[in-house]
Amino acid sequence: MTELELVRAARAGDEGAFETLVRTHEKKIYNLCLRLCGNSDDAADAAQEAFVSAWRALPFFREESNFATWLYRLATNASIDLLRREKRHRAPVSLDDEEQSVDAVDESASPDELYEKKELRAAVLRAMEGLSDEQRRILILRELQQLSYQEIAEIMDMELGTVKTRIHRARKNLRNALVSSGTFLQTLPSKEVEDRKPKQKGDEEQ
Amino acid sequence: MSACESYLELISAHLDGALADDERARLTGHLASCEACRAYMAELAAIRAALSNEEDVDVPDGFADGVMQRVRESAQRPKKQSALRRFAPLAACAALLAVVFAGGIGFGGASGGTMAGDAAAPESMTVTTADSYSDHSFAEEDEGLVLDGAYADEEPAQAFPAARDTDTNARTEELADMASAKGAVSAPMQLRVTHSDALEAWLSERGIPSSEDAAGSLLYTVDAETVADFAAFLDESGIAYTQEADAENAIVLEKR
Repeated sequence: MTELELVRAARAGDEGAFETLVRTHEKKIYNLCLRLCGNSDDAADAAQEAFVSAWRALPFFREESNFATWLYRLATNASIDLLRREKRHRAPVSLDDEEQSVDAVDESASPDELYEKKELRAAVLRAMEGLSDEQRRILILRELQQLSYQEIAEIMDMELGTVKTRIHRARKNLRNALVSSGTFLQTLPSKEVEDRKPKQKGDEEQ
Repeated sequence: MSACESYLELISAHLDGALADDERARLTGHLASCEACRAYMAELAAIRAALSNEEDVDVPDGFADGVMQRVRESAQRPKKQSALRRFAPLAACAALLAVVFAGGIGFGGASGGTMAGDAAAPESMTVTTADSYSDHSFAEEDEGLVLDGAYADEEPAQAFPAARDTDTNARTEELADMASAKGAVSAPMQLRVTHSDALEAWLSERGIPSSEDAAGSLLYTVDAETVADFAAFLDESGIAYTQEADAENAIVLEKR
């Protein structure tokens, strides 16, 4: 059965079809929730909630939508809800959970390179904790989940152009935080790329 | 703002392969002469590389079984309940939903409907119990109608075991009571109205006090009778919505 056929069957009440859909998508959904929630217990709760919501909401699923993207949206909202209920407004991406996969980054790298990569990743994740919820969320969707602008637009209910701008702003803030923390060396006049810097001579070049 | 500022968004989009040819040419030209922007792009690329290649971890054992257990439990509800009833968090809201849905679309996935009234103002409304206001949407341009509440006939302990505090308990029980009372609901509810002159006017004409929340939406505390009247008003006005399920217990109805 194609995915759409499974969706239709599930919508008609076929639990077996729905279970197939759950097993197909559980890993991606769980990992998204893990990144948004920051720990495995919350992630499992949010992911379960997302799938149960999907079951209930199947009558509302529009067939022109992508089922996985729709699940991402439900999972994102379930994670946000869960964090709100716990009144944890900042949800750090747990470094512990990241450690597990860090060795898989690049097996051909030398120990030194590996160490550097691991350090940079840890610094980036720490800096992400300082971003606003929305900026952190959009970077998780883009950089960790590797979703397209179009998918992010659907998940976050934004225009495509807004997605582009928000990702840019989030990256800029993240980069500036890494400069502030000393992770990125402030090279040359890269002050230029910060917000409140004075105009410089070179700026008129265009 | 320096001249570089306008290139930063292009740099970000370039890393995502989202530039048109002319934009890419413009960026390439600038990068050739701007060391700062080259450094910025290298830094963003480093961030991207640091976060990429992350492998997904395995799902906890029994995850799908847990989901399916809850699915089967929810399927044991009386079959007579329509999808509408299943979604309606509160018995009183069901009336409102019925009216709104009747003006818009049927169930079964089809969506459609047209907006007959003034199409200018984006409008949205949330119905919640008075003490459980929460906003599921993180979009800035909120345009939709959200009915929000808990599933009264669901075992709440399975939802968020770690997350529940006394408030949540109290709220869930209250909702269950309200739902079981069916038509006899008298507990006050809140309507949240965003950017809708027509809806705001209707409510203020009836002298219903409102307060403004942080996001600039107006909150009205109303009784079930007013909700029913309001539903009738929506019906008469011919406002139709497309519908979409959102987070676990919200339904977003988007105005067409």
